[in-house]
Amino acid sequence: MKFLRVALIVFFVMFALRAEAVLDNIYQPPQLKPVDSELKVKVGDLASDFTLPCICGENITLSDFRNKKNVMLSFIPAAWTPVCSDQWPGYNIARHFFDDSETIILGISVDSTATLHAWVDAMGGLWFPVLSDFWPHGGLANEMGVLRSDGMAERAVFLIDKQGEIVFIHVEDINRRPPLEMLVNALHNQLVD
Amino acid sequence: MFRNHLINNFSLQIAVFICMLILFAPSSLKADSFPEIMLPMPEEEHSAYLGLEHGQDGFFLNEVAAETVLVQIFSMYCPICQREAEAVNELYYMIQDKGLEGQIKVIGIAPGNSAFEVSVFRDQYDIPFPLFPDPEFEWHKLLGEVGTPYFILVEIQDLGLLLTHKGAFEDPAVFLKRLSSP
Repeated sequence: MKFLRVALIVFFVMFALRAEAVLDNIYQPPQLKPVDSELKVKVGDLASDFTLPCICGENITLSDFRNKKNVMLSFIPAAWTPVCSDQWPGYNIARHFFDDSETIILGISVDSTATLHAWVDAMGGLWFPVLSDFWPHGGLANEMGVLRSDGMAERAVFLIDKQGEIVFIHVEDINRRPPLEMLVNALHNQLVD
Repeated sequence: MFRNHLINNFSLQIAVFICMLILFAPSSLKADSFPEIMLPMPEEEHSAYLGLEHGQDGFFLNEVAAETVLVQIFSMYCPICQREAEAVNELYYMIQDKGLEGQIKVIGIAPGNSAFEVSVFRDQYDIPFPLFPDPEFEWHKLLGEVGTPYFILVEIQDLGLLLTHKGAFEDPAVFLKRLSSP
């Protein structure tokens, strides 16, 4: 009986450390071509409406935010890779910058909903919706011109104002994170001023 | 009765052993001494904490007024570093409260983070010790590109590494004991 109790304690200690172990096991891709696509939209365009499944269990439609919230579409290349696992969690402690500019982030990846759910859970959760552009594969990424030839999306950011107009686009080198100060400046200059 | 006692003791020892294996797994830092890197001079309050003369352009770790320096490698983007921030602050205050300031000083280095990103982390968690951005991963490469969070206890005299720890340390009091007698 006592042995069982001790074994249970060990199990719970190991379980508590599980999230860190999961993040330790991230796939290490090789250095990739910085950008491998051509934009099909530009600043000033009206963003096409879309509906994608969210890991929260609902479908999210861009036009639902019209006249209510500015939107930052944050495309990342793939779940369970180092830079991506090190990008969105940073926005958890930068949330006030987005709140101040009445902006919601929609995180988007071409991974399946199930994969994204497991990955976001392992990272400890995010305050913004994460959407799957899995099927038709990379449909939205392709429409906006950020689908790479290897099937991943670029590490790209689109700011869309409350009227649905694209006011800022940035496609980062896939091997790096977009600098936070650049995003904060864009939020301030394009959406607050 | 005696047999049960033996089994219980044995179980406990196995349990503790497994936990120790998980918590104190060997690190992946390859160097055996801290690289001679020049860090930028921090603001006045932090220069005083490190015992540095304000006005210099930068400083080397062996100029810090302490027997050892605990270097935390972290990133504002790293969720484990975010969860661990309060525990690291607690460790810092524990060192002050126990009068161990002359023995251990704490600094943080943030690979791939800009000064702005480091300031977001500092403000969010009210970090009391000096933090240094390493936006182009220059120091990180010299440190063997370790993951975050990562802790290195450096002996000031010869920059030898007294202890390395990968990942969160969970209990600040337990970790401080390890730092005090590495």
